[in-house]
Amino acid sequence: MYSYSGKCLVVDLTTQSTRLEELSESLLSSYLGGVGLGTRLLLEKCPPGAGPLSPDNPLVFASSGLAGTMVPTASKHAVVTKSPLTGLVGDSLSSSHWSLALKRAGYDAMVITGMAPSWVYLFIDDDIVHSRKAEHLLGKGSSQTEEAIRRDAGDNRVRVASIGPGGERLVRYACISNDSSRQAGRTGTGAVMGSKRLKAIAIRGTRPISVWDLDGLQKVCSDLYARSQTSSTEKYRILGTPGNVLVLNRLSALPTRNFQQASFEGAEGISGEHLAECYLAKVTACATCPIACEHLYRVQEGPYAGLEMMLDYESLFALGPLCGISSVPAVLKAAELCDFYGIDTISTGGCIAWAMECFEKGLLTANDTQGLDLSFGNPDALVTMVERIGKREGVGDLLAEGTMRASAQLKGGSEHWAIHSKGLELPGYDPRSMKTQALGFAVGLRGGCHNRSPSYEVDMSPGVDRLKAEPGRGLLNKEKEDFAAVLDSLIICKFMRRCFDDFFAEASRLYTLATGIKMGPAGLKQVGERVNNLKKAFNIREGWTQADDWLPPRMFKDPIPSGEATGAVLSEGELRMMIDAYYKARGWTASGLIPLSKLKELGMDDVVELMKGQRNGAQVHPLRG
Amino acid sequence: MECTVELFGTLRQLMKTSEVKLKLPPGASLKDLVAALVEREAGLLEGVVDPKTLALSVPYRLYQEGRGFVDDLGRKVERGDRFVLMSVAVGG
Repeated sequence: MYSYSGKCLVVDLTTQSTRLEELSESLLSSYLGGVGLGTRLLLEKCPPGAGPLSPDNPLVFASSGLAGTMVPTASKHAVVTKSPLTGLVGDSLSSSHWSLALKRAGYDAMVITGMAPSWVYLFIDDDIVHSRKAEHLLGKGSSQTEEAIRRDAGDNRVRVASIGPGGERLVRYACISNDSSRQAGRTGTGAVMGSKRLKAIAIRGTRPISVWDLDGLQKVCSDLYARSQTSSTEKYRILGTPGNVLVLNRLSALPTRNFQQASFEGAEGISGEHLAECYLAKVTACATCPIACEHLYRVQEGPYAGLEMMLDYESLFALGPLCGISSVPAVLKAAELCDFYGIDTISTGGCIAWAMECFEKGLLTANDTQGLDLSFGNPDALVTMVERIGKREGVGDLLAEGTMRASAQLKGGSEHWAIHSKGLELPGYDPRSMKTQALGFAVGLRGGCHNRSPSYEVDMSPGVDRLKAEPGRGLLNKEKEDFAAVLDSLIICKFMRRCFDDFFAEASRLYTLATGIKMGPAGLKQVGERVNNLKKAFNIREGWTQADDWLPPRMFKDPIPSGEATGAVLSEGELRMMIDAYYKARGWTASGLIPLSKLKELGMDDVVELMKGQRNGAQVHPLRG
Repeated sequence: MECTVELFGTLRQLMKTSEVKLKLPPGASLKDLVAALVEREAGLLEGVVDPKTLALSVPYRLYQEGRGFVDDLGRKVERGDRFVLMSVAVGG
């Protein structure tokens, strides 16, 4: 094999031991890497019914066949585990130099199990794996942790992935950060790392990565690099993803004040256009990325003067309009604190917005908030609440559990505005004015997610009535999900997706040129379907029920009150109809289960064996783990 | 007849305005509307509008208020129609 090492490093923190396991060419070509390979290893290594924060739950880091090669934007890795937020499959991507280091150290994947007797960090020096004491790192953010470990090692080439204080305190949506500013952000992978008393993973990877056809790969990649500088990526390069704010606002799709509105009167003031004009300091990129979508903003005056912070659309929406905040410096400060504590910005914003609505409706009072005025639009409240969540202080302790658990605990009807699917807080697209995306959020295998079910693209297509639900959306959502699964397993950044003329033909060729493994367009396409069936198989084993594929009550009861989509709402019948069509398009049963024949058709016979030990759904629902 | 085109993102930067009012002859089509935009800003031909067909390049799209995303350049434009020219390269 080329590019792949065929090796998986398994670390047991309980016994402080390591071993190497072989990954066969057949397994690697079936799941590619990233989310696909990571989920396959999770299914194998996670005992059925394991608590997400128990030592039994494995934390899987998966590289890919393209990582470490010259393929643009392929310096990525996936983190896969059983999510403490959803109790189902949790997967998240991150990128840049740590991803390269993992591959160069000689591993296609790393599985961490058990729990260390006291806080440690791992230092992986190619073949040699050290477990080192980490008490002195506790309480540090990712940047400080990275600096400290590099200083100890006396080597700036050491790359570090770590958790912040939020992960140490098991905030259920804690993330794992690497290279200071990159995060595997969603589904709470950082809480799983914290439950293992593992503060960081430092890697010094020095091995070369060989590819099967260097000249051929170079030719194709040169062309891709050129295409990455055309109009297909212009928005990402010039404005970055904050350029989405005004577009979604215009379409009544910008979730505002906890989805009470879908357009924000302060949108212009926090738009990508305004940020570029008044705050932009620098544009940067992940390793091997020619697009450079990361925009660094600087606050010039006021209490946060001097603050520099990167911001993407999802962080901006969640800490801005979703909380009714129109102060750019406050949003940047809140994002900086999320990075320091190592907590997901989308879930953090979602939880604070939920609490603000509880405050508005009198379910939470100043007594509960230690005197804090938790009104929508209060920038100081936003910043204070991020800190309290990161420290699990006061009501922050409740919010650290995520909206699903927090609303179940607080009750009082607050479930109505707990905006999540399967426990994962929804991202910045209002499903009432984007009905294909509504389906995607409802059936999403890691919970409501625009990256795993990117069906907003369907809603933003000519000839599609985004305000209408139709059975045909089932197949369209399936195709979007399968395409996303291929990108997330190869791994290629989604911002490159429009740079291909014929994605499956070109990407399968890239894969073969890098790995030497024969792969055609049809085979690559089937990987996407295989990966999503694998994720569903894991979910079924861990207690998924049909009731989990649904949306919060607000989406059915509260029409959008103003803007282009005034009056838009989703009916239960519409969503049920689209879900039925989706199950049918996937070849699943009417109740959303996978027939054995489907697994066999996808060459997943071995998964049948791994499905044994399926749990009784009643044991794990609704608050799994 | 007059119609309006709202601009967002890089298009707003390119045309140095957030909104353009266009005067078109009766019976004008979407293609005429795009041509009028190009006449006002030739820079649109660099990556936004195909110089030969006047079709919008990926990922730019026209949204017509009250009707949705439109791509049929033969579609007739009515007096008072309001359009949004945007990039749908979202995500992130």
